Amino acid sequence: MTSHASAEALSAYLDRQLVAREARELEEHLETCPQCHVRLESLRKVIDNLRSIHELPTPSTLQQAVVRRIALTDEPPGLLDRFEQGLSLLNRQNPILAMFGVVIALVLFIYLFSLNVQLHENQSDTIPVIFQDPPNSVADVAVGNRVIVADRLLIWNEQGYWLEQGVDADAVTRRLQIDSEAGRELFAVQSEIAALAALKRAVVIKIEGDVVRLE
Amino acid sequence: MAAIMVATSTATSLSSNPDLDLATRHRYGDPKAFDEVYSRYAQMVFNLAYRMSGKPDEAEDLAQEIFLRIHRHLARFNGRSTLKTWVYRVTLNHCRSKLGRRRYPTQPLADENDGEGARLVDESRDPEDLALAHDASRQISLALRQVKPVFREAVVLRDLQGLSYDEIAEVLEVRVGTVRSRIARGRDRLRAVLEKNS
Repeated sequence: MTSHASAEALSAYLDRQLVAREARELEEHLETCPQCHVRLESLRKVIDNLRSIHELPTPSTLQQAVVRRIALTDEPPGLLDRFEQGLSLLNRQNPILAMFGVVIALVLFIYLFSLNVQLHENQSDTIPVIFQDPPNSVADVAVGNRVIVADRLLIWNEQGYWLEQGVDADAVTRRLQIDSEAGRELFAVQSEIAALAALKRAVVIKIEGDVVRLE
Repeated sequence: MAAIMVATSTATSLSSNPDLDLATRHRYGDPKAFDEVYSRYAQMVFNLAYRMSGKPDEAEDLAQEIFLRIHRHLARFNGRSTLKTWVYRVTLNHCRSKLGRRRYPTQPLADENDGEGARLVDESRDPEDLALAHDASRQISLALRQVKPVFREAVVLRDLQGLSYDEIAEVLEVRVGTVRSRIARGRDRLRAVLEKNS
């Protein structure tokens, strides 16, 4: 070792963190370098002083205060709480990255929000709910009559069946037969309609005699 | 209650990790689990908060909030680290979060006169030694506040809390090489401040 020892080497040496070869080289250097020797002793004194500092006693009021605050305010942490903590940590370590992250999150949020709106708009086109044939168990109907089934607004149309507003009547893509008991009212099948709608399937509701059938 | 006790004893008997057992007992509602965590770590949490904030009153507020946080999250402790390093990490993260907004205070010596030295040394020593110790202890405590928080954290964990380099690396979530560098820079800065003021 020709140049002076680094502060890191001296510090690590005092903590016995140098590997044997590094420690031996440093010791050889210290024997011939009074400056580094003085620095080492000065550092040793700093460490000794630090380690001689006594800890403060814990305030006698602390435990009671903690118990009181737990009783008063402890709640399960929310998503926002964790987000705030993470952002604070990131902000301290890398403010530019944190700002970049916030911008990306905002853009992503706006994109997902608009996508969600589009999905909702498209949903009514892709999940037609059609009542075919005049339902015997429902009151007489006329063109323009409205009924709400499974949160969907259906209108009796000129072709003689119930059609969800804004839906293409030809867009029937799947058939599934569920017979209900004879004489049941049409609205009894709401849950089945909703289940099929949730699967994004077309639903045709037929009334044949006393049987309400979903297709 | 009986069901809780059964669940607790079952969970305890299944684990060979006492730290994890403590977290499991807390999860099942055993209040003694948190009491045990408090009695183990209260002094450490308070002193670390004090070293990072520089003010006893603020350290007490911080310690309250830290234990509130520990109470909330202890059930989710997964045993990947020791409970000790986990508590240290919670403590430092909270201090950074709260004090970071003020960029962790580094206070000028001239502003300091809180009589801290009187509480930091062993009162049973010889009066002359005691006076010198008071002064040395106070000087080093105040000088420590002149060190940048990132280096102060490492020095406090090493020289005041007595953690190993590996433990500090775990607490700070950095490599051991980084710990070595931060400790050295912190101590070097401290030496420079003390020499300047002597």
